[in-house]
Amino acid sequence: MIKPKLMLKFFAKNVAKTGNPLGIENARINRWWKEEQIKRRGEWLFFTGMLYQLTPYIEPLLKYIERLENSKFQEVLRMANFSRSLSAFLLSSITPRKSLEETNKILSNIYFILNSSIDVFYIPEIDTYSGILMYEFGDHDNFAMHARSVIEKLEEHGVRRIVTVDPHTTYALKNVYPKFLEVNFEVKSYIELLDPKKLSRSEEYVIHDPCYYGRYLQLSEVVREKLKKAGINYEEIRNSGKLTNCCGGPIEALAPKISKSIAEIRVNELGRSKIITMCPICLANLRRVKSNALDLSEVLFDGS
Amino acid sequence: MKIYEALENKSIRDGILRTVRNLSYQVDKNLQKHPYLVEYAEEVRNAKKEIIANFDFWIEKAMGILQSKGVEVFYANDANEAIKVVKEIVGSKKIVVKAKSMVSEEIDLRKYLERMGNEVWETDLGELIIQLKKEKPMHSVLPALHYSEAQVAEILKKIGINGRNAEELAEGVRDFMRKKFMSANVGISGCNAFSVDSGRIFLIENEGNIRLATSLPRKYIALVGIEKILQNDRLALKSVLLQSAFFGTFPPTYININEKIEQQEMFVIFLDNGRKSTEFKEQLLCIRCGRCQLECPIFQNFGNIWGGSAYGGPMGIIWTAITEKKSELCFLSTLCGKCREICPMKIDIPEMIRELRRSIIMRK
Repeated sequence: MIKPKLMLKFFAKNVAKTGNPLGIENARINRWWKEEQIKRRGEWLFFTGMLYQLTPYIEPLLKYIERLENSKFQEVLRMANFSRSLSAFLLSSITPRKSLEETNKILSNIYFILNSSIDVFYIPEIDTYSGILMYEFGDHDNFAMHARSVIEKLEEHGVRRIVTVDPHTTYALKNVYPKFLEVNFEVKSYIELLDPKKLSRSEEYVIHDPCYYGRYLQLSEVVREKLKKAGINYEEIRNSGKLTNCCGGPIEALAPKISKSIAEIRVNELGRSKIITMCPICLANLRRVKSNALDLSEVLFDGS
Repeated sequence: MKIYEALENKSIRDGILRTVRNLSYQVDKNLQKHPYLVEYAEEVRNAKKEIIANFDFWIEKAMGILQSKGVEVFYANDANEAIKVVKEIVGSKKIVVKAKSMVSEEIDLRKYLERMGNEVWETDLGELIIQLKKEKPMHSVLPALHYSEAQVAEILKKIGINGRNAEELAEGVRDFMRKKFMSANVGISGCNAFSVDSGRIFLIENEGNIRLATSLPRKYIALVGIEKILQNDRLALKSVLLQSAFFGTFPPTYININEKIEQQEMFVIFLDNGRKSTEFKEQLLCIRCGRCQLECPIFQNFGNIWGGSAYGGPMGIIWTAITEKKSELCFLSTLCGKCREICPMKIDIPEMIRELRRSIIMRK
C-alpha cells in the first residue's frame, strides 16, 4: 500500500491547484461538448464532476503506482516536481485514444438522451471534480474548502437543479455537501431523470451495481425500472442491489494490485453475461481484469 | 504474515470464498425460515445500547451477583491486569484446556501461560491447528479456514495424530483431547453473552469441546469482555442465537450455559482494555458473528491479516483501534458499505473507518 498520507497529499495538492486529483487542467480533459450543440441555460445543470474524463488517465497512473505499491521508493511522491511531472506524464501520448473517445461518447450520449426528457444545460467552466476522495480519506478540511469553491461557482450561476452522471459525484453533492455547507440546489442522478426508448436487444446482461448507488443512494430499483422500460434482459445475482459487491476501484490508487484482485473476484461472481456498470471507476476497474463491462449509457443509447 | 504475502497466498482467498458462498446462502435461509431473528436483533441492539450507556452500573451489578454465588470476580482495566490475574489463578506446571476465545487472543493469554511453564491446549480443532502453526486465527469463528485437509493432516502429525481423511483426523484429535480434558487442572473460556440477572455465561459451539473444557477441570476461568454483558438470560440467549444465525450455522450444535457449581472453583474476569473509554462506542454493539468479515472484499483477500494482532476485517479494524492501536490498514477499506448492510446490529463500520482515517491524518 502507498502510504495514505503521501497519496492524500498528492491528491489534495492537485485539487487545490487544478481542481482535480490528477493535476490535469479541467479544460484539457473536458472536451466531450466541443463538437456538440449544447445549451448554456435551462432547468437542470448537467454536472459531470470530471470522473468520466479522468478515468482514461487512471490506468497509466496505476501501472506506475503498482511498481511503488509495496516498495520503499514511494517517497518520491513527496517531491513537488515529481507530482508535476507525473501529471505531465499522464497527459502524454500513452493514454489510449480509444478510451478518450469512449468517454466523450458516454457523456454526450447521456446529455442528449436527457435532453429529450428534461430541459438540460451545460456550463463547462463550472463543471469540476467533487472532492469526494478527500472526504473518503477523512480529510475534512481540504474537502470542505474544495466543496465551498464548487458551491460558490454554482451559486454565481444561480443553479437550483443539478443532474449528475456518476455515483461518487452524486453522493458527494447530494449527501455529503449538505453535511458541511449550506446548499440551495437539488441533485438527481441522470438515471432517475432519463426516459429510455424501447430497444430490441437479444443479449443477456448482468448488472454490477456501484456501491454508492446500491447502498448509499439506493437507486438500484430505478436502474432496473429503466432497463425494463428499454426492453433489456438482465439476470439477477444474489450480490446485487443493496448486497452488491465492490469492484475494488476506491483503493486503486493506494493499492492497485489489491484493487485488481477484488475486481477479479467480482468479475468471476458476475459470470459470463455482458456486465452493465454505471460508474466510470467500476467500469475501468472491472476492465482491468479483462471483463466485458459496458457503461449503462452504451447499453441504453448506443446506435440510437 | 504481511498483507502482500497474504495477497500472494491464494489459499486464504480460496478458503474464504468457498466458505462465504456456503454461509451467505445459509444466513439468507436462516432469516427466511426464522423471520423473528430480525426482531431479536433489534431487541438485543437496544439492550446493548443501554448497557454501554451505563457501563459502571451494569458491571457493578454483574460483579455483585457473581460474588453472591461464590464466584471470584475480577475487573481488569487492561490486558496486563487480566494476564496477571490469570497467572495467579493458574500458577505453573499445570495442564490448561482452552475454549476458542477471541478475547484471549486479544490479551495473548496462551503465550503468557506457556512461558510460566504450563501445558496449554486449544481444544477447538481449527484453533488447535493455528496453535500448532504458531499463527493467528484467520477468522474469529473459522480460525483455520485457509488450510486444506491435506495440510491439516500434515500439521496434526506434530502431535502424533495420523489419519487418511477428515473423519480419521477428527477421531484422532478427539482421542488426544479427551486425555487432556481428563487431566486438565484449569479450563478457560471466553463468553458470548453474560446475563446479569443470573450471573450465567452463555457460549455457543459446534464441537462440544467447550462443554468439556469448562466443566471437567476443577478450576474454571471465564474471560468476559464488558460489552458481552446483557440484562438477563432471555437477552443473552437471543444474542447467542443471533450470533450463530448470522454466522450461518443455526441453530448452534451446543449452547452452554455455565454457572457456579459446587465441585468447581469459578473465576470471572471482566475485561475493559479500551472499551469503556473508546470513541468507537458503536462497535461495542458487535456480537462477533463474523459476517462482515466474510462478506468484505478486503477481508476476502487477506483474512485476519488485514487487522491487528487479534481482530481483523471490517469489525476487526475498529476492534483493533479500541483494544490495541489505530492502524493505517484502515485506508485499505473501499468503504463499500457491505459490512453495514449485512450487520445484524446495523453498526456503521464505514463511517467509523472514515473517522479513524480522519484521526490518523490529523496526527502529525
